Amino acid sequence: MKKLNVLSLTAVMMLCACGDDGKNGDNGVDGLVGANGSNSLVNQTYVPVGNENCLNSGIQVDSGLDSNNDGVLSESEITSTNYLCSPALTTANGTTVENTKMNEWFVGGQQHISQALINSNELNDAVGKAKNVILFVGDGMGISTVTAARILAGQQQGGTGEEYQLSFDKFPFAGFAKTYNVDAQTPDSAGTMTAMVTGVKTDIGVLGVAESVSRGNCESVAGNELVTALELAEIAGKSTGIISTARITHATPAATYAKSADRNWEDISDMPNTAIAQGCEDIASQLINFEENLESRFAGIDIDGIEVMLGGGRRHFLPKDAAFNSIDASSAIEGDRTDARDLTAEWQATYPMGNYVVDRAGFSALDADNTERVLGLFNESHMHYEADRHNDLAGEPSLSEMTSKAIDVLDNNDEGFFLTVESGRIDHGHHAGSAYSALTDTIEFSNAIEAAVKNTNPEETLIIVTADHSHVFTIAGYPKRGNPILGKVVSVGETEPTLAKDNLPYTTLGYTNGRGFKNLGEETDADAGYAHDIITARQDLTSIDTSSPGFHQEALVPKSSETHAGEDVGVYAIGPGSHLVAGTNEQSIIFHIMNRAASLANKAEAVLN
Amino acid sequence: MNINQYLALLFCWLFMLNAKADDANSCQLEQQHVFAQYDINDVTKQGNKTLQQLNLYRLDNQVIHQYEHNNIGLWWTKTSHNRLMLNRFFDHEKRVIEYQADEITGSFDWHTKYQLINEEFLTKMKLVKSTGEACNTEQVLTYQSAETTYQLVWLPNLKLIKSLKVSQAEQIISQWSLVKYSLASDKAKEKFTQLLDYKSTDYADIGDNENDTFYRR
Repeated sequence: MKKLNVLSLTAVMMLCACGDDGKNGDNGVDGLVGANGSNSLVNQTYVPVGNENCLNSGIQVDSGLDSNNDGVLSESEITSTNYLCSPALTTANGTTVENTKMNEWFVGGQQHISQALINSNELNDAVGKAKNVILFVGDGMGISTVTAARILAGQQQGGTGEEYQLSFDKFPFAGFAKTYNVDAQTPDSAGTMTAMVTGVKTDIGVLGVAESVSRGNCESVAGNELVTALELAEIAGKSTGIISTARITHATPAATYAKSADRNWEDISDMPNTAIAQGCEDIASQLINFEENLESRFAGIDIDGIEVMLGGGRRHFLPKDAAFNSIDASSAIEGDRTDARDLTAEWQATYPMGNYVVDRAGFSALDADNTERVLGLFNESHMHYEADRHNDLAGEPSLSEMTSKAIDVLDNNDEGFFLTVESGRIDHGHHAGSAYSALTDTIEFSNAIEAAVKNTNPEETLIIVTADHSHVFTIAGYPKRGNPILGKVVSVGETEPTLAKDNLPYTTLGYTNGRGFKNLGEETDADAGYAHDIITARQDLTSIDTSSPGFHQEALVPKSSETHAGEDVGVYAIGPGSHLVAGTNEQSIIFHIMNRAASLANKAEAVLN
Repeated sequence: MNINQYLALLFCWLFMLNAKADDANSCQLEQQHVFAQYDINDVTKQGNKTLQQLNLYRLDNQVIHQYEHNNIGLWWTKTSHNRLMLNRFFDHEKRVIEYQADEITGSFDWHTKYQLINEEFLTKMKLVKSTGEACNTEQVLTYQSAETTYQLVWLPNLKLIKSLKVSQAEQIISQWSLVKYSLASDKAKEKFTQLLDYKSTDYADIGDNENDTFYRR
């Protein structure tokens, strides 16, 4: 601190007389001795980058009188504050600044900001501008899954991985969604997907119905049915489609078309007798009867039904009779239905121009431009993991192939389309404790999104990518840059795996709970792990290839299946209305963004009125 | 012997051969629908003895192994595409958990499920003697490895173990005995029919059903 001492003054009065000078008078009486004055103090304080008065850092100069003479300029004594700010780096010169300005991260950041400004200037905020809407849902694709998949994809292409971008990493807008269900801190797919496609959060385990429903109680459904974005699009005259690598009757796809008090009522054999007696309809039947059911709910409408339905789950559409087995049935009797109905035959009778396909050959043979509608059921249960797809007997299309074909069919309608695409087996890979399966499915999910971006016009297509929930999947330790993401932790500057306190190496990826360690070599079916015992004790991984498809990561808490997690998930968007994806929000706003961008409710109301 | 007598004898001989073949064929069919029960006595290295009772059910391309004391059973199906699908069933809860079908390779040895003994191992065993005919044919087979001796009484036309002794250093460490069996068994058909009525779930779906107390266990 610097002190400036100034003269202490006493009051001086000068008498001024007019006229001639007179005689000098007598000296007057001495005045009172003046009191000592106060020191004036000045404080100089460095302020860092980001200070509101000096954004590029600088010096804050405070001054005032030391009125209590304690030699310190306290807050109450400051009478003036000035700033001597550093010049902005962007205008300054010199070696230090040049080192910063020329750095590739700095340049990349500037370019990103420039692009962000262009994006914001080109915002298309017109209601209803989005002719098409595609909602991609990576089931169980939490933030750590996105990060690890990004690194794996980059490393598979020969890079270090961390800098790589998945297709949706490049989207201009992103935010976070809070995933909890109305009655559950950590959610399930039924409640979360219902929130995304209806705008209404609801209970865990129920589909397309509001929280007043009682899970498993058929009678409680009446009066709680919600309207989904897919239904609004259908009423509005758009084409509609649903794709999933899980069973098409599984929770995520089912939330778009079904109203059910229980996500597990996939066919009539899954339902309690009371629910059947009370008139509740199983989920597979609701899919096949979608057109009729929606028309009965909204008097006077005439819709044409869902054009594209691609996924697994034949068992819920076929009678429990071996005579109805498909060419690649796994079970002795493929169908589960106990009401003798063959829903695939019913669908073909209702839509004689529709194509029912069960394998890759049938799928590939479809001429999309001349296909009115398609029902593709490629597996008895879930479709294969992407890593295991080559093992399907009759052959399955990939998620990318299904997405491209679906768009090619749906865009035959000039009114546009609404499509939901679920990568359902990311979730199953995690449940099985197999990071390899979860990540390779996530990479294929990214490929499918890229295919959608390439096959649509960005000026009229809103694409939203998100997850329904996360998993207890972690990226841990301090592995060096470029360390194989499926490998063991090797620290910065090291070449051998780092040892934990138990003198054993450990993997970067791990699970908080689940079935734990498995070393199944080249096995690409993650579910093979379920046939092995749960092992959660620490293992010596020294001689184990942890990047092999059959390696299952260690877990802390033993459970029959690894669980979902409750943290927020990412939401990524591109196209008209995508700028509304910002901040941390309830998951249910995804519906509202889609609805506003495509004016779904308004267009549907116009039809209804 | 005149020509007529000779022809009559030849006809009888051929008839008997054909009858034996018919018996064997009959066995081949009947052994596909089987219920068999085994007592299994094992002796641990510490000398402790355990007795378990194993029920084997066969119905065409499906097999069940279920230990009497155990609520859990294993149910395998060999699909038409030579793949093996495993289900686990729980009688008390009337539930089934399904695993995805896999190729029958390596540890997925269909014969070990179907007849409780590996076919390749059977071919390595030495035939000591063979008695009986058709369904009652019995073979005594042995195999000696460096430390272990196997003595098997095998019913080849029924594809069933009648008895099996496994010994080490002249001590029996495991002994299997066929207690009872029935061919063309209604009991087997009933068991498989019963399982079709159980509530089934993919193992992959268990993680999404945490609210179900059965899966939580």
